[in-house]
Amino acid sequence: MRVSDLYRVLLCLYPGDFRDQFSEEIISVFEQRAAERTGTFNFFLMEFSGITKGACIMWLAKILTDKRIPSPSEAADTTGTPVTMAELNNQRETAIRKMVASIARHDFINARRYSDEEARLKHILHDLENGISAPGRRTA
Amino acid sequence: MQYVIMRHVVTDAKPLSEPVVLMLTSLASEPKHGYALLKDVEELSDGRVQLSTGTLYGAIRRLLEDRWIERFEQQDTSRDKQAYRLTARGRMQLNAEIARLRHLLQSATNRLGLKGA
Repeated sequence: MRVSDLYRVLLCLYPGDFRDQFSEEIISVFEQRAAERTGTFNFFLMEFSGITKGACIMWLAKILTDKRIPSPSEAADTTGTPVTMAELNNQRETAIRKMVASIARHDFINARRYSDEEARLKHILHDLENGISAPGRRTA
Repeated sequence: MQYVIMRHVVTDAKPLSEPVVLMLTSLASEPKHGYALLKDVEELSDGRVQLSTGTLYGAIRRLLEDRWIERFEQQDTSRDKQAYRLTARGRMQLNAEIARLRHLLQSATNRLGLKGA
């Protein structure tokens, strides 16, 4: 078994959505670094301890603060109703209107909340427009 | 009656960790993919900060979630070579952190009587 194969196996310790997003990039970066530091014990120690520590942190973060709102594909899976780009655009416009109304009322806490919501929807729309699959997307 | 709309700049008040500051600094000049980012962080810190690949991507994930950085689409972007760039929000956070560090440095300099040092 090659070192990168072992590294690939250890990547399975991470949550699925993280693996979907980053595993190929991580393997690619690891292989580039391994190629320039062949046989360096400290390097492999740092990488393997980093990956196990990182997996623990990711799982803890996921368990403690899993506030992620379902992606459109996940929403479609659970409700049976696909979320369209038009609906997302509508939601975004509503968030902007509510944010402006909150600012007018000097309610900056809610304004910030609607601003974050608008940014999140913008991000989802951007990903959809560029054909990037949402994290944790179920393909079955 | 004239209304003046002021834009309130809200930044997260907590000090940033050194690796995060270095990552944001590295991305401030131009978009980079993971390997280039790792190398630049090492160079910026004179080799003192060496991130493992897993740690780097954990940090990238958090920065993406906070929208301090974003994916940068290039013509030749393959799935294993994704570039990232700083967002306006990330730049604001970096500026706030630099201001905090500058203030800290000034205070320490004054206390030590090192004015002009």
